Amino acid sequence: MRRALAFWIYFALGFLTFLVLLAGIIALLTMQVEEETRSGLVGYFSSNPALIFVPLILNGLAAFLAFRAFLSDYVLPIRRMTEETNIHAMVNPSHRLKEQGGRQVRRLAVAVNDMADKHEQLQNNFQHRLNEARAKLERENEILTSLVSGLSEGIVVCNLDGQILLYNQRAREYLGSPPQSGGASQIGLNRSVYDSIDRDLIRHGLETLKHRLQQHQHILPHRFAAAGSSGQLLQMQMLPVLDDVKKIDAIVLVIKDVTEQVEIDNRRDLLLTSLNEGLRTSLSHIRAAVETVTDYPAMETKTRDALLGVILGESQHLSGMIDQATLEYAGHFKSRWSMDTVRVNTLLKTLQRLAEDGGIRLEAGEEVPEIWVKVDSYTMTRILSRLMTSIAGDNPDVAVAYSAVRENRLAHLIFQWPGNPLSSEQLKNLRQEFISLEKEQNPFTIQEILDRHDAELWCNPAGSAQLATLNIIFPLVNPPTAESARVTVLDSSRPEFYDFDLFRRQEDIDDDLLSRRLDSLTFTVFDTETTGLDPAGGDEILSIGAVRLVNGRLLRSETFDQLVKPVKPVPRESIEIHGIQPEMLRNQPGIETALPAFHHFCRDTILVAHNAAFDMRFLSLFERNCGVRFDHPVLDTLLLSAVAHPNQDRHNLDAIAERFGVTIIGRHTALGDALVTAEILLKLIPVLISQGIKTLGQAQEASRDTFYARIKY
Amino acid sequence: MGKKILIVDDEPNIVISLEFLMQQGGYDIEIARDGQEALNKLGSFHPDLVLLDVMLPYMDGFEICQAIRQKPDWNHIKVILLTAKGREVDITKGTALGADAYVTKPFATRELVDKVHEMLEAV
Repeated sequence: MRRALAFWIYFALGFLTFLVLLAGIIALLTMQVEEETRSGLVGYFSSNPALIFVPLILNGLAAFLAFRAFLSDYVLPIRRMTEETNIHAMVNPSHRLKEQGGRQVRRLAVAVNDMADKHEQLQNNFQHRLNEARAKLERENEILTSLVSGLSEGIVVCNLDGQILLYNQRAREYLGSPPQSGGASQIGLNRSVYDSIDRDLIRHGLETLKHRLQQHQHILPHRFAAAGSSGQLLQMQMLPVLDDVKKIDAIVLVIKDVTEQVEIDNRRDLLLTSLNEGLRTSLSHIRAAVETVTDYPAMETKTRDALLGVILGESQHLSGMIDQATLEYAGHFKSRWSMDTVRVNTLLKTLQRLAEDGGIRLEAGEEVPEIWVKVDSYTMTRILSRLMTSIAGDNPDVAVAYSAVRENRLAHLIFQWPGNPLSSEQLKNLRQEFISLEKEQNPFTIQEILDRHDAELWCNPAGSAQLATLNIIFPLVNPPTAESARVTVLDSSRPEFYDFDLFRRQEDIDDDLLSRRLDSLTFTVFDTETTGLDPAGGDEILSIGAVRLVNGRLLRSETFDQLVKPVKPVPRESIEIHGIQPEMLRNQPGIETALPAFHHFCRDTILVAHNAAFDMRFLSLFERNCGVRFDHPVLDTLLLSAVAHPNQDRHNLDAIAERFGVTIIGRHTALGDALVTAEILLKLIPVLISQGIKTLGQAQEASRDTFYARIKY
Repeated sequence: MGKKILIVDDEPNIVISLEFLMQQGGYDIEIARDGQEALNKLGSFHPDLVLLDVMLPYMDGFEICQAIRQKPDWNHIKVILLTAKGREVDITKGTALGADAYVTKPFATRELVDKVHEMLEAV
């Protein structure tokens, strides 16, 4: 109820009661006295009505002042203090009561503040421990996240409804984001995986996995191919996540870009086919010619020369074919071997460590130049380490000096030591050895691995410098490009890419959305910057910023941030507020592109804005021309704040932020304001729930009833 | 005195041609079919040039080449490596081990003959 109205109603009721009491007393008194006295009194008062009304009015005035003082010194301050105590208890522990109202009330405020100090201290201690525990958990999550984001494959984990619970940067790259979507990707927490991958493909995969599970077969990943966002060919491996009764709870998709691989395979097939046909044809010509020449020794010289010419020509043709094939396809034959581009120095440093572990001294010789090779570094360092063991076996206490040089298009690794070289017998045996790894034996001999690397090795005996030398040469490769480095940088920032609480399937998906609890909803909290306050009068949207709030977590990595180019020029005076300069808008999309992209970003969520009515009017005015409709449920933090704390005077963004202890960064950019609003919403939800406003429906109803809802824009 | 050439190759099909070609060029020829035989004949036959196949049983052409270069007496002997492997690493390794030329199979017979002539004239 409005405060002023309440005051007048209470006052009127009080004064009326007083009048009734007074009239009653007078009536009783008059009944006690005799007839003449009564008529005398009536006559006296009738001729002097002031004698009745003046005291009455004076009395009323006194009552009014007393009541008002009581209200403003006791009732209202206590009401405000109740709310403020609540704010301290639930939202912002450093909030203190304002000392106000009557003396006793002030004392109460002081007492409450004293207790608040103690409470805050206690809470800080508690918070400190909680933070410690959380930091530990966070650390573990970080390990998981960096593990997942460091993989060269894309990873997406989703539940059986297709909601994404975890993903990595690579998956985002593969399944991608459409252009001009404010940076929003199809891949996001709680988004549907079906936006990116055909539902039937996933369904079929699930059935296959279920079938294999029922047959108690060994769980093999189900493989299928799908198209990526920019037309790549993606190979997907689908693995089940089982719950404690061995039922499929979620699925893991491992995504690999096989576009290049398939291309290589195709080229290889093509090569084999063309070689096969070419070789057969040429050989048949040669054979026919040779057989004719040998079977008919008496043939004319002319015919004989012609046939010899055929043999020569076809042989040359065959040579040419082989040369061509080696030239064109040489690099592709080793494609299946998993190799990294590694700095030669890194390779040597790893070797040094390995060798030292084995008790062999390995020292850096001349400085190693900045050259790169493509190797399976694990296996290669073990091979080199094995060679060092051999050297040390012949020369105990030896110190081997290593260096590397660039030799045309080859990297030349040089190991030198004073003493016996490895004999060719030793090298031969080494080449036939299998390298043993941690648990298993590598299925290839050292020679085979060297061949895979296009590497060669040999040993020189001690020359004039009295040093034996082991030489290994590899083809050089170009250093990794900036493109791959960019991915690494992105990986190291740690966005919220996972949310395992979403593992709980939402059984009530078909229930009325309105009866869902506030803390279980997915919100898109947004803000717009506009050229002015009047959309009907021609003002336009300049910027839309939004952030997603899923399961009570603000997903700072899943934001929408798009400037919009208006039709008309931006009014000078509005620039002071939003700071968007006309030149920033030059290459931005128009509203007809930006609004559908935003619509896509906030599909299946609740829209939230501060003073939502304002933003919604802009959206609804432009939506028709853009072919979308914003029919999402809407909540307004302004109204919700008024619902939660009706006795606070100010409910603008800055005031609430201050009250709730929300730090403001980037105020008056659409995304900055959206982030502040989202944090406020996060803090409001528990307060609302404690007041019995638990569901979306209840929140909307309470918003409608609050006083501020009557303000019309 | 005619120059002498030792052909080291284990494939008779190519040896026939090589032997014929070199005889036509006016050289004395001996054939070795593996590494050991090659080292023996190097000692007894004293060739001026060795046509050395890389892919040999037991001891490969690289090793024979290295063995030749390690013996000061044989330092003047020219070595031409013949191989079906045409990778840059092989050529680099051959050169590093002291081969004077590296010829990749299949080769043009005329070019090989010219190269042999050229190298023996230079001596």
